[in-house]
Amino acid sequence: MSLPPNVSQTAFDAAVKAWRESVGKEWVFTEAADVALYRDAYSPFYGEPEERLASAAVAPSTVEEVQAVVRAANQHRIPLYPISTGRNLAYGGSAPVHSGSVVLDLKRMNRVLEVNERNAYALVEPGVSYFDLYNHIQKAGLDVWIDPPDPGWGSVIGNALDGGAGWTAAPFRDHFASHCGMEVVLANGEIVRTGMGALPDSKSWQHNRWGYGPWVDGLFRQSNFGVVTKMGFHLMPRPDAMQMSTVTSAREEDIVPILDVLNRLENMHQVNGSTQIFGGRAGGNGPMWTIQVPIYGPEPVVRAQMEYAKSKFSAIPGVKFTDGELFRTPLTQEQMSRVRLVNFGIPNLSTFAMLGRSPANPDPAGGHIGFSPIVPRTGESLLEFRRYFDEHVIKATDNDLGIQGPVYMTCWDRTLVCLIMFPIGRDKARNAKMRSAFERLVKVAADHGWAEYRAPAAFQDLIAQTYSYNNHSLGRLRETLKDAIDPNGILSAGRYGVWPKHLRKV
Amino acid sequence: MTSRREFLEVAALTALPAFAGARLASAAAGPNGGSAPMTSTDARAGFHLVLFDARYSQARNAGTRFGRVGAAVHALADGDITQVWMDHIGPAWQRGPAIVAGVTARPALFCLEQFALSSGLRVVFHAEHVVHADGRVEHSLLRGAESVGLSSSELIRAGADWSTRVADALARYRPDTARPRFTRSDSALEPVLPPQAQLLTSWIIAAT
Repeated sequence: MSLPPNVSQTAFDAAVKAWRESVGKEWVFTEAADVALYRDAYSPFYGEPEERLASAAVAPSTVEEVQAVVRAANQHRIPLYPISTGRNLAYGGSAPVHSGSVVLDLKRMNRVLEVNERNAYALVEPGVSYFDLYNHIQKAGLDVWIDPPDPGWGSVIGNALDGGAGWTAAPFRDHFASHCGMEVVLANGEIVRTGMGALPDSKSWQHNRWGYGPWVDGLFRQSNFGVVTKMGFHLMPRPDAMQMSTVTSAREEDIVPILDVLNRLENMHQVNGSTQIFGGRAGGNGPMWTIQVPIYGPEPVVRAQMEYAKSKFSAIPGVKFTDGELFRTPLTQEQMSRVRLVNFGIPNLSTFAMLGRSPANPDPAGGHIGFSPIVPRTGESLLEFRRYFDEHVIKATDNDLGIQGPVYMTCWDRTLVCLIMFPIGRDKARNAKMRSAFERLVKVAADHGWAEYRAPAAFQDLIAQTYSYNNHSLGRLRETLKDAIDPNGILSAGRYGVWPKHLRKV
Repeated sequence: MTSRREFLEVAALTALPAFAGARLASAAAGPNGGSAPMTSTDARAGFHLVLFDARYSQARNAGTRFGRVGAAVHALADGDITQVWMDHIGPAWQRGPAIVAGVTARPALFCLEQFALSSGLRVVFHAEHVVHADGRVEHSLLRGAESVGLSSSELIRAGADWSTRVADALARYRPDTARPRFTRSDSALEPVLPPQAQLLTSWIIAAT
């Protein structure tokens, strides 16, 4: 059994004893075979001394047990690293940012506490996965959709807190933005409920997210200020129909007016689905650009809005608009076999089947981690990003690492998430080259005014450093908050670049 | 709520006949995964379910063999475990530590292992088989070979019939909670393979 850094055997033993008494000895894991389950299979430092590893794990099943675990950790100064289900692979999985932390594994807290069909919301615990919530809704026959990411096996709360996004309609696919109310255990073991939940016996906790006074929910996103033990989410009432049409163009410069039209349609909520942008490379007989335009809603409204979108896109010289099939929901089995299920609120794991070599996929991308800067959604910015990619990935390295991209995602309005995929393997020398390329790209992107929105544990400090306006004033504000809320620095040390005072580098 | 100890105690009862007799609406042992459902009539293997990847002839052969010894089998048409997880394995693991085996590509094992760990189960047998373009097959027995009495030399001797030999061996598996507990298998990432080669894995997930 390894010890957390700077923790004595006596203190650790005392904490473990307290945890065993509060959650049951079978849910405190100290044997190497059990603790190793929390390794990050996608760590860019896999098998190297810098790999972030847990020292132990504890798995409470109730909020009272979470309180007891946190209190004992606070008393004995043991670093904890809460995870929901730990399936945010490529973003660190269940491994701690601060090596030696004890994983606070919340996957036993897996109760769907409420799904309200009339006002379309859910209240869940951290161990509830998208599969769990989907199955709950299906079994109950409720007429609401969830918005799963792809793959959909992770925690609903974990994905939202990590800044994840899905593939159905706005505003539901921004998972943190669609939340409504939290329950949080602070580092001293105290429970806080946010928004309307601060009212005892509140009847509107999941109806109104703002409550009264300063709104604090954002403090718990990508953070280490508390352990979220409940969270509400607004759900989409099942739309009657969805239609996904396609815009294509042969000329590179057409992306400028195409995105102007798309932005206007999205910002007016005429187009509410998760659009996708493909192309931007010359060669072959296909179009230079292909943009998928999905609209959800009542069938007559979808048809009318798609007709309006068609008129706007078709007005751009050289642009072709192709009407897509209109799907009425719920889908038939035959339709489910040929659509992308996440666009219809159905979680799945088909992404993984594509990661291995197969007759249909002889050269798979394999495992990867992503660098995904946020870029303004304009054609000019997209083309500038592509030049950056060509210069700093293709030309600078001859791309001997097999870096793939960029993929332009539009999960949030007004922006492009420009995904560059770095392959991950078990070859340490190759991983070292990959890390070096990653670090260089982060710095060069920052010089362009772009930065990542989410990162693997190994790069969270690096990216936090790029948010450096006014001598890192935002980072210093976060440290002030950290010191006030978690003075002993026991929760998720280093997560997203926020370190407690005793571990802070000058 | 089932405790981890209860998981282990139920696992020690070995045969799990209630699960082995489960009827599978989508199970199939035909070459393309499209034949009629199969029902277990013989719980010797103790498996709740055996998966095989219908894209590969060696895996189909193993699936057929498992079916003959009475195991409930399920063909993965495209390597994706989503549906069989949602319909069969997930509900079974909510009830108890059902044993699941397979001859599949790596991603299927990786996904199921992630779910298995959450249910207190582990990969207790894991072998990899690299099928080269010229028909040669390299076998690596990574864990649990002794629990099914299998050796690489035996598989090499079996030649093209290696996957049926794997099926026969896996069917001999009996849970043994006295064995040391395994940690996670390293099945997350595809290894670098020679051109045209295909990696298949054979595996058992069970309580330890």
